[in-house]
Amino acid sequence: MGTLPTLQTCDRVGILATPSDDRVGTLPTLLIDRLRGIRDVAEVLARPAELFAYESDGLTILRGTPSCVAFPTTTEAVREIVRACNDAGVPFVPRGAGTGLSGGATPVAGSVVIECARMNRILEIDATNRTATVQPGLVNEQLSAAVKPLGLFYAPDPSSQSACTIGGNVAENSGGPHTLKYGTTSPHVLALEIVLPDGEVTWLGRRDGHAHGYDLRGVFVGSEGTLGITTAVTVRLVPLPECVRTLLASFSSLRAACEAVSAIIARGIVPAALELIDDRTIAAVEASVFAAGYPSDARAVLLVELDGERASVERERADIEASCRACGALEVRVARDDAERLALWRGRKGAFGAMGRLAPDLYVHDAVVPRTKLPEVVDAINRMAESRGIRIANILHAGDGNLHPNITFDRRDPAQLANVKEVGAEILRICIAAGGVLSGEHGIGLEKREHMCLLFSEADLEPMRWVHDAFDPADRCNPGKQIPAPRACAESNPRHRGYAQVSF
Amino acid sequence: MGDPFEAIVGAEHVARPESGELCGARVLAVVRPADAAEVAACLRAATESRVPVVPVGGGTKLGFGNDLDARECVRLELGRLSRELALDPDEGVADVGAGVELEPLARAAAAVGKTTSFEALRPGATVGGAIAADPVGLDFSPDARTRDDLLGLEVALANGELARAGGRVVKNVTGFDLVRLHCGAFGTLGVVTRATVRLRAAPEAAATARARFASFDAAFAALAQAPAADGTALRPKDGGVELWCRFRGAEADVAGRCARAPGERVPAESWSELRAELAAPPAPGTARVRFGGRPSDVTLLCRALDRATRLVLPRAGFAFACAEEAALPELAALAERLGATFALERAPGARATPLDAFGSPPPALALMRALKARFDPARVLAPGRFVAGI
Repeated sequence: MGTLPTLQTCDRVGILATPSDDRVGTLPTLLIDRLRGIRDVAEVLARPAELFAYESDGLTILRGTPSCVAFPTTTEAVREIVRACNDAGVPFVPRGAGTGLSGGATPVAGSVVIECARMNRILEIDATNRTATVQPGLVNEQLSAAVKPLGLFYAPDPSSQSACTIGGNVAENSGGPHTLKYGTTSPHVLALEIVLPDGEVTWLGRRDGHAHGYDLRGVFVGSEGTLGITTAVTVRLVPLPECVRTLLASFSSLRAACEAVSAIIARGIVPAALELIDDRTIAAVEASVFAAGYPSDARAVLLVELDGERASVERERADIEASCRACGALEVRVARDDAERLALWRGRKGAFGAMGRLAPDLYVHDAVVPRTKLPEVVDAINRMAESRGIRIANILHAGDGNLHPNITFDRRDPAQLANVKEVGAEILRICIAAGGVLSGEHGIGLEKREHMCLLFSEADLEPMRWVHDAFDPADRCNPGKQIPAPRACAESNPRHRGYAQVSF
Repeated sequence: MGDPFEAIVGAEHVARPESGELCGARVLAVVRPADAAEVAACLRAATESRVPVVPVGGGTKLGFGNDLDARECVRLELGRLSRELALDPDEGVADVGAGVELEPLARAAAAVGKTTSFEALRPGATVGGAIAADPVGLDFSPDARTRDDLLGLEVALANGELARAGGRVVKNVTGFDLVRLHCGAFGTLGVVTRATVRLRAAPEAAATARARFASFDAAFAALAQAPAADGTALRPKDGGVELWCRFRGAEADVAGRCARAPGERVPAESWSELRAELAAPPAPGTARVRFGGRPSDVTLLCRALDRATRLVLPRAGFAFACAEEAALPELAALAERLGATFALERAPGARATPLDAFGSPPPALALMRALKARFDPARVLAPGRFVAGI
């Protein structure tokens, strides 16, 4: 353990012909010609310059070059692409907007990327039953915009919601700031049309949410494109709240802000969002186009959003103000109107972009710990990173215990890159020792695949392999992601290595 | 028969009834393991000896599902897995053994101002049983389903291993979500031995309003104008239809919404009395059928079911009917025609008919069978009990 896996070390990547293989010239050419002949495939990119943009997702330190990128617009086209890949023995990798942060959409070398971005239509809005059925390439934010006139919205709201797609959200079981109250993507997905790795089309779940049988819908959501390709999604819509209030509370220490989070939750309040931003993130935001007026003298700010019935929201707002002041808040500010509210959120949602300006590369980490452990875990992570010469900027979905320690670096410097990878692995060890897990919303992908062994034993992982084998016995759909190969854990499981035993 | 189980749990925890039937199969032995390790060892023994096992918690859901496709079985009782009941109210989670009953769990949670998404329909129902059967109760809400509030599971597998899924945190995308796979699987993929469940703040107040209407149509029309409630129900009564709306939350909101609901406010315990409609087992010779659909489908279902309707959860999308065994194929056909789901609960001791207890098979049945084959290759985990005889 200790280093991030690279494409060169991915055990299943080598199933394709390498560039030195004699077959490599003819196989992709024949396949690409076949793909171009499929009805409703809008485009197939195959020139090196065109493929460059598809070599990674948001985790840019891991890259792979596909043989081509196909753009289907219908379920039938996806099915035909999958069949063509199977006939050629070539793996395929589904992709939405490529905003994922764990390498889930990183192409396996020589694979066919099935880019779903042009499957972006809303197929049905059922206001009576509060559902919508959409194609997977629909941009998350566009769904909420479309149903707003009906008094509804789609609750999962990743920070990248202006770019990321519903299909990508399904693959990653994406969260977002409002997960605290509304949950991640999975509870909002009622049914999925998928193309299975063998080319068959089926539905998982039902649009009424009452499907019998194993909850395959629940297993598929968050499977990172390894079990099939989503071609349509029926999601739940939620009524727009009567009232929304957003507060900003600033603190002289991160610990005080964490204590305020615990005090708020202890009152039985479940805000729609409860975000914590540290001083380094504040500085980055305020120096960027996303400047939101966050107090520059604070060591941490809490961004709290309440929604619901007006009377309830106002009372909870007062309670939260009191909790924050009791925990030593320097200032508590309530957005007076929508413009102020959106400005506060612009800073939070633009924070990753703001940090991206500081260095060529940004590593957005993601882990979860029990909420009450946040202060000590964040302290431990900061100390560990500083001892290795790295300064971390933290954004936390604090109400969920979900940390995003962010590291700016330059991957062209091998020493920096190696250090960042080691710090990333150490962050995970700290979180797991505190009873946490590897990811709250970014997924495992390639980034954390080998780290799965820190959390799970072989006995825990084996049922995941059974699930994978039931869906994709030929291991052709986004191979090598998420689940480590058998026996990979033998030397790295915490039970073997003496790390603190977690209770689950 | 029975020796391997005695070796695992001790002879005093194995009974061999002279007669006894479970899900249509003769009970060879009743085995009561003490902990998760013993459960796993029992499953390994069952796999090695090819003896089907039916896990039983409180035994309150045995009327659901199909009969075993085996003539003999072992009844694996999990009641001794009840020692662990640890609540962490600050963190908002509880760790519970599968044999813990729902009522003590609810009391323990209430004592610290919390609640869980489990609904105790019948005395003796256990955490493990509620996870395996994932029943629909009066409080069913698409916003707070049992599967959404299950954070982690420990599961004994047919190969004798103990596997963990999920974790102890409220947000977790670490690998495939096997927690949801086991929830509602009737123990056919593994036996849940322990769970970590989310604790939510107990609502400050609850209020219930009840109104009477001449017909279902009139009640549905009134419901369309009613304020948002977290529980709604329709019940035929005295030739008319009652509309129930239950509100929970902050006192000020609850009182206001209840005042705007049709009808009059009734004592809070009335809602629990209504629950008796679902809690009582079907009368001998009859079965309770649960239809599921979109809220708009439920209106059509009620018209079609007419006087067979016993209870409707309109916003959750369920309608319950009672019928004699002979009428069940007709009701299954009705569900098929309207595109609704169909699930039936038989009276205690009733023998199953060829009619599948879950209606027509789901579209991804082949995948489900493939999963079953990998999790339980010897078909010893409640074989035949689940959808389409899985």
